Amino acid sequence: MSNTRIDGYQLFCLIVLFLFGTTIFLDIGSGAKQDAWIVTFISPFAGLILFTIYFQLHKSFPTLPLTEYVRKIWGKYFGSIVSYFYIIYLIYIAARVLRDIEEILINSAYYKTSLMVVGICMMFVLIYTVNFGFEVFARVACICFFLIALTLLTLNIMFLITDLIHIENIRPILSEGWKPVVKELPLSITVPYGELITFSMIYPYLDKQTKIFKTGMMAVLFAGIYLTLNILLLICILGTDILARSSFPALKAASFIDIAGFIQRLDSFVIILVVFLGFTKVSMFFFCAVIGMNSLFKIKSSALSTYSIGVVIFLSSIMIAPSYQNHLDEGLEIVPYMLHIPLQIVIPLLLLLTVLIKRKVKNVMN
Amino acid sequence: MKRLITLLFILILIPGCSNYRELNELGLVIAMGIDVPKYMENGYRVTFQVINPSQLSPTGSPTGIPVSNYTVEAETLVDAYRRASIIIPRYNDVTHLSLVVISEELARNGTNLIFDAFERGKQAKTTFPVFIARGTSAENVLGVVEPLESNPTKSVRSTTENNQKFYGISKIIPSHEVIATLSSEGKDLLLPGIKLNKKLTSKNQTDNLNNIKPSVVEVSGLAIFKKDKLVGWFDGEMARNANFILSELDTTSFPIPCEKKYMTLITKRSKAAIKTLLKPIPTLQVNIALNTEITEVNCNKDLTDTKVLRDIEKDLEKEIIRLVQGTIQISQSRGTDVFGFGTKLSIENPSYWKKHKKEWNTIFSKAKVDVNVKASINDSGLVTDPYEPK
Repeated sequence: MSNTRIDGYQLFCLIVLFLFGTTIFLDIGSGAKQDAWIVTFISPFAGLILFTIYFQLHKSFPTLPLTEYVRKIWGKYFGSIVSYFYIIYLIYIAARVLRDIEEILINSAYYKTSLMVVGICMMFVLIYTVNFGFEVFARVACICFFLIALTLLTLNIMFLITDLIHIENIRPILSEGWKPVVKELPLSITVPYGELITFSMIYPYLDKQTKIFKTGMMAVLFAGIYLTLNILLLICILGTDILARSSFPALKAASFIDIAGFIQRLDSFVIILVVFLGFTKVSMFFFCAVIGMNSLFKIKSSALSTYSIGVVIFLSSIMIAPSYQNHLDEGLEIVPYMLHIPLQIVIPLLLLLTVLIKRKVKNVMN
Repeated sequence: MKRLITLLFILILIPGCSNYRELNELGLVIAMGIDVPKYMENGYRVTFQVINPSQLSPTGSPTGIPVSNYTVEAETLVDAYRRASIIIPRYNDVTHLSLVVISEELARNGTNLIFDAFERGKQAKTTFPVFIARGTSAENVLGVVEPLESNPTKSVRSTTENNQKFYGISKIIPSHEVIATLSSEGKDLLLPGIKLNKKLTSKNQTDNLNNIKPSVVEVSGLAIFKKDKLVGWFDGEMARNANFILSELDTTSFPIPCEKKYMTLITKRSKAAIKTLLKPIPTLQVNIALNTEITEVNCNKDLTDTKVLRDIEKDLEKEIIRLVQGTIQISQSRGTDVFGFGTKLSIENPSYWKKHKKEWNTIFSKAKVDVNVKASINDSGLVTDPYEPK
């Protein structure tokens, strides 16, 4: 992949959409009940720290993607194994997100369609996008950003008009103390903020290196603010009980909208969100998996890796779990501790430490 | 090759029409009545009201009844819905469900988790209102065509909406709110009741359409629930007062005694706020502020005098205090907190609530009721003093 022309604005759109991803229509931090918004309010700050770690790593090797500099830092053999893990991780997360989208679609608008058909349709679009290259994708993301902003604005205005927002639902604040909030934090930091590690794969291909840090920070904070507002809205509309019980809170909330018995069933708006956000998120992982694969195995043409990874993502999205409940359990109990925390936090930290120690040693030697 | 791929692409897009359905093949279920079964031991007797679109077309005079009712019995609601296909000739579809009526008998036995199917279902939306058929079966309530509103479902809804705007006994409560109230702590459920004002005189439904005193749907009080069981009713005026306390009243009228006769005051704007005080003794406080206008005077009063007006305001305040206290006392005697004093307390004082939520209903029943009303009269209509027969 040659240098891609992406300006700060496009990067901003990409990061924000990526962070909105699936979090906007799932209940993040709902274990903390009415204090879930505190969780989503704090986690972007932890997200900023993670983002800084990833950026520092990138700054040490400005021309290499994640999978390459891992090999530079930890040697050819061990580094290769780690970067191989990262590629599998990216594919796995892509499959998980794809499964999320498939489930939400067949649970709402496409209740008579099979998981497979929805998955195949999504995969075709994704492969098509990845074939066009990153620059095109970034421009599409900008259009998506506008569409999504418009949809969210309309939805929120409808919520206001229907008088669904009951502010008293968020009280009492911190009635159980900080314990449930702290308990929810790791989950809400790893998804979505920890997933920003994916962007380490594309930083070297951006032509405006100076803007990355500032734009990224802004995007993380912006996403954090909006996600907090979003969860506040959901708590106010649904109440903590329904929020905790419903499989897709955003869909439920949208189905409550009923203006004069005339404007109702705005679930389709949520479906628009799901499709666009899911599309950007999966293609982001997909892209980075392809880049990683190409660089690790020195593949010249990316067509082969694109098609093969696409098929793998699609198949694993189906095979990953037998039922939606199973899929959720995996995502909440196994994946964060077995995959997210090691690959998003521990390994990058160790990498940074190694880099710093190496630099120190070099300085001392000189 | 390229063409083949294009064709394949188009093939993928075609399944979009795989489960299409024409309007004339649909049997849209617009209302569901849920009763205690007659022939089975457990389960429900469910009446599906299916609309007959040809009777509703704006052009051409309708020749018959616009809906048909189909009744089946089954263990569960979804099973009944599926089983109904033995008698419903069209593809029954619940996406346009806009009314659910539950019979009093069933509600007295406990509604259990009757709403789960609606909440879980992928097609049905939870914005439809829920009613209790008072003293009769849901099947009967849904089985009457009125001259003014020949669609029973619409009749129930519009009678309720009209009453809600005009007097305030009844109100539309969407099922998602019902679920939210049932699953919330410190607040019990109130559901509007409906019944028929009199029995059908003839077996022939269309006779009712030609009757000058037809049998029609009547809103009738609010059903008081304890958990999921119906335990009593707020009747007429009491139901209005209950909505008044919940601050869900558009406008209503209060007759005030004056010199052995009455005068009528209409509320223009009202706001009620509830509060639960713990010290010195548990007290349920209701603060009400309302603006009124005088619309009818059947006694001799000098309405130009501001002092007289102030006296009337005082009388109104006293009257409202009496009514509101009586209403809360009914709720207390049943031991169910339908106004959400408990919820209010759990928000304001979570630590106390945690300790005492188990015995809240007894605390609630014994609590003192304290009502503060601030009434003001804005105007007295187009005349000042009433005319005097001489």
